[in-house]
Amino acid sequence: MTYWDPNGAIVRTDEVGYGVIKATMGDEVLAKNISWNEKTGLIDVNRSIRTDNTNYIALMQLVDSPQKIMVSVTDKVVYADRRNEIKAGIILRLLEDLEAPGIMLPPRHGRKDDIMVNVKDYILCAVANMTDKSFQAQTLAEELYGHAWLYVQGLPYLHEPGSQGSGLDKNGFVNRYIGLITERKY
Amino acid sequence: MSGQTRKVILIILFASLSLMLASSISGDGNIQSCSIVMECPEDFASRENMNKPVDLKDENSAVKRDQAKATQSMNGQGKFNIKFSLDCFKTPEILRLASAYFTVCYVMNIDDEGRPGFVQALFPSENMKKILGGELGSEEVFSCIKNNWRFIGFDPGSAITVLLRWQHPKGFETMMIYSDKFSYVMRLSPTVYEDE
Repeated sequence: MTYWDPNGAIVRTDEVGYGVIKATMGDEVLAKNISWNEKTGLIDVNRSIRTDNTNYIALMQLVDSPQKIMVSVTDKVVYADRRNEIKAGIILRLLEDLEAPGIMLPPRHGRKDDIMVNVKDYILCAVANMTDKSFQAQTLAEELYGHAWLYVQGLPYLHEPGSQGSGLDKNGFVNRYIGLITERKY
Repeated sequence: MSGQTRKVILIILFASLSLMLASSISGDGNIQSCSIVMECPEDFASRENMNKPVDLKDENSAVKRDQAKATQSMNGQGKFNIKFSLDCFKTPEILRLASAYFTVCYVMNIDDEGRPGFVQALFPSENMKKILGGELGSEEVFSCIKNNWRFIGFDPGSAITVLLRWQHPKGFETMMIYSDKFSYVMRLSPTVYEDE
């Protein structure tokens, strides 16, 4: 079932995801200004509050964006591999396969140059079930306010690989942008 | 000796054999072709000396005293020279999206010149092989290893196991090299050298 918000506010999650979204603020007062509708799963934020917390501002912008985003706390995601023209969903068990605590997948029919996409037509920001809640919040912040926010803004959103293949280019725009998010305290 | 005690001793021995040093990393954080020479003192064959610190030299014989103090493993031949390059390792696309931490294993046999002959990539699971194998288990990577990696000072025919640890968002952060008489752990994290 898909829920549509008449105001275009389409960040959706369940109760567990709501808790992690609040934790991404690193600020209990701000967290109280984020609401979740139990019936629709929609996230909303108090727009009257003044803050320089970039995570809060990014969340507000994502909520106001027409792009649907799903926040999910889950151990596996399903993606399609466009590069290899694999249309069937490929299951990725986050922690088991890649020891990956999180991933962001762009919508199925998003940008033409998307390579790995969600099997459904919304952005998926998934984080694994973890006991380390601080790390979990940091991971979701990276996926939601990093990759997803950049995607919604029409900006590059993929980590730039290093020129020699051994890692990621630390001078890359996306890497630096997301690096600032992960450096915050959660 | 109980199994658990033996296990603890083995872990301690294993840890004492592990060598830590910084590899040659350029200022922009990319890993360059690297050659590491370890020279053993003549009286180094005994286990008592296994943890003696030595200076490790890069191929330009520039001693990195602060970064490369390390313990040395037992070695009958007295000298190892390891060369490797990760230049042709392509970053799998999924690692540009996923916050991943994993280890990929390469096993190889070397010839009498220390050149890897047979190379195989091993992944922790079939699913992971499916996801990462296209890049990290490609012929291109195997050719890169065969052409660019050297393990001088090892017995011909030695089986070498190399573990590469990926840590998001840095990339390959640790490289572990094992053979029957040798173990060696390198951190591939970027190093910033300040002008003196």
